[in-house]
Parts: sequence; C-alpha cells; structure tokens
Amino acid sequence: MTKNELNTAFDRMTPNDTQKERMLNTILKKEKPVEQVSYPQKMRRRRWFSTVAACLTLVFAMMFMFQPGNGSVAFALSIGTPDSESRVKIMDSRMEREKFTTTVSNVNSRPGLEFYIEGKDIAKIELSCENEYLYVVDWTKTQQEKYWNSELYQWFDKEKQQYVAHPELLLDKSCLLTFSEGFNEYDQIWYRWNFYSV
Amino acid sequence: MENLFLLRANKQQTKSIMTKGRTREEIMAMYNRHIETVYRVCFSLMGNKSDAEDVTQAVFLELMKNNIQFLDTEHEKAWLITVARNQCRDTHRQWWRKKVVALNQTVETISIDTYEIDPVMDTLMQLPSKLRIVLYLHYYEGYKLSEIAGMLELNINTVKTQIRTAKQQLKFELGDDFND
Repeated sequence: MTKNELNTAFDRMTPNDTQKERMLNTILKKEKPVEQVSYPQKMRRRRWFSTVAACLTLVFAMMFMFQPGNGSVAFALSIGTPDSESRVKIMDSRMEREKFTTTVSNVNSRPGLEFYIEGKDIAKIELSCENEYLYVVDWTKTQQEKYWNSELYQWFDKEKQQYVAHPELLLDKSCLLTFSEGFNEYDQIWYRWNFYSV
Repeated sequence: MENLFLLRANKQQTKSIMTKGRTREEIMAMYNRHIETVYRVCFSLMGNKSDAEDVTQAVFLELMKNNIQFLDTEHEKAWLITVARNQCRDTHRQWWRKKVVALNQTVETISIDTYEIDPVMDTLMQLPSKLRIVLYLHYYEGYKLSEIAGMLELNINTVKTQIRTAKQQLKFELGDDFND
C-alpha cells in the first residue's frame, strides 16, 4: 500500500457539490448565529433546573408517603433464631439497614419480606413455612443452584417460541441451604419470602 | 503552520485580535476555502456522511460565533480542524449515541451507501477514528507530527505510536507494507 492509495481513499471522503450547497444553506439560514449557538446552553440549563425540580418533587413525595404515623408502631411480623450468635434481620421500608430488627411494622396486601441473616461460621440454614412457599434469591451463588440458575426452572419452548417458567420447581415450603467451603460473605446472604399459592 | 500554536499558547493575544463581526461574504469565502478539509476531518472522526455534515455545519457556526481574526489561511485551517475535532468529541459524548449505534451496522452502512467496494477505503473505515485522523492529517494534509500533537492536544509520542499502529493495522488487513 502506498501513500497515494491512502490519499485516494481520503479523497473519496470529499463532499460533493450537492452536499456543500446543502451545508452552506443550512449555515447561512442561521441569521443570528450567536443566539443559535447559545441555544443548547439554554436548553442544558433548563434541563438541569427541570432535573433538580423533579428530584425535589420526588423527595417531597417520598417524605409525604413514608412519614411516620402518630408514634404508635404495630408489628406485623416477628421472627427469632435459636441462638444469640446468629441473627435474622428483616428489611423494613421505614428503616435503614443498620436498624433492621427481627420485626417489621408493615406487611402490605401482597405479602413479601426480604431478610438478611447475619452470623459467623454458619453451616446451614433451614427455612420452612406452614402455608406459604419460599422464594430464595442467592446473590452469592454458593448455595443450591436452583436459587440462582434460572435455567433450572424456566426454559425456552420451541413450539410456543417463548420462555416458560415452572415455579413449582423453584418454590418449596421448606429449604435447606448449605455453604461452600471457605464461604465468608455472610453479609451478602439475602432471602426473599413471598406468598405463593402454587 | 506555526500559527496554529497561537490558538492555545496565548489566549490573551487571540482575544485581542477578535473583531466585532464577519460579513456573509467573508463566511462564504472561508467556507469555500476549507469546507473540504473540515468535512474530511469530520468524516474521519464520525465515520458516516450524515454525522459528518451535522458536525461540519456546527464547526462553521462556531466560526461565525467566535469572530477571531486569523493571521492567514493556514491559521484559519488549523483553527477549524481543532474546532472540528472538539465538536466531534462532544457529539460522541452525547449519551444517546452510546446506546444506539452498533459498529457492524455503521461499517455496513458506510461501505454500501457511500462507497463502491474498495478494500483500502473499507480497511481505512474500520480503523478507530483516532488512528484515521492522524493518518489523514499527516499523509493527506501534510502536517508534521508536532503540529498534529498540538491540534489534537496529544503528546507527540502518542501521535507517533498512533501512526505506527495505524500502519500496522493497514498492513495486517491489506497484507501489504505501507510505503511512504
């Protein structure tokens, strides 16, 4: 390959007369170039103010929705653990994670609870429900594969040309979780309990 | 060419030679002098015709806005190339561009819509834009490496490396040594 061949290729990038005329017309149509060029800045400023306003509105809406009641707290659910070393903490929408406890104050019409289990050297965790079914999300991917590998309970149906889920293969009234050797990410164990009527 | 460094070296001096405005005839004369260069720079950086046209227009609008009085046509040209490069970079930064354009679609569009089949052109368009632009400025426009470094705000060694990499990639794709 030579310099001439390369320059021939660059020559082919040259705009034709129609393009030149079209661009020139567009440029000359801008009768007040300073205002035209500053327009995007105005737009950016306006967009910035809109974003701030939207954020503030959202914050006020959240504060209004989640403001505490008259000081009385009614616990809707409570759980416990057999020993004092390990603890189960339930996520509560009205609290920060550091303040999660073993009780929650609100369970909505479609029950669903998320909870952390904290502790050291946990060998196994057994969960069971009397009437409902358990759904576990395993972010650590160290426990039973069915709790993180979606291919085990949903697969592609070639006839229907869509994915079909089989929740009965995923949900149980009880589950036993063990951990891989060397597991130490105890702060990442996270479960979600959902009411399912399979 | 040395006037190029006036652009960044002494802003105060540049401001002092700004004029109040430019007539339509002056704009048109500058446009006719440099449209091909500016467009080719934009095309090299953007990789397609429509984006190159948009950015080229933005470059000349910037010229109308700034009203800098240039010392000569080389100074003009160098300023326009720098502005073109900045405009292309700003356009690439727009968030929606990052989501929409797929590389294979772009290359396909370029090769089918804009050109006849040409292996050199095809290979050139598959190079990263940062390599294509240094090749263009060095071999087509004849700028020295130090001048390119000044225009693109790069270290001169970076420019050297980019030119070497671009030549290696052309050789790899075309199976032929690049002869200056």
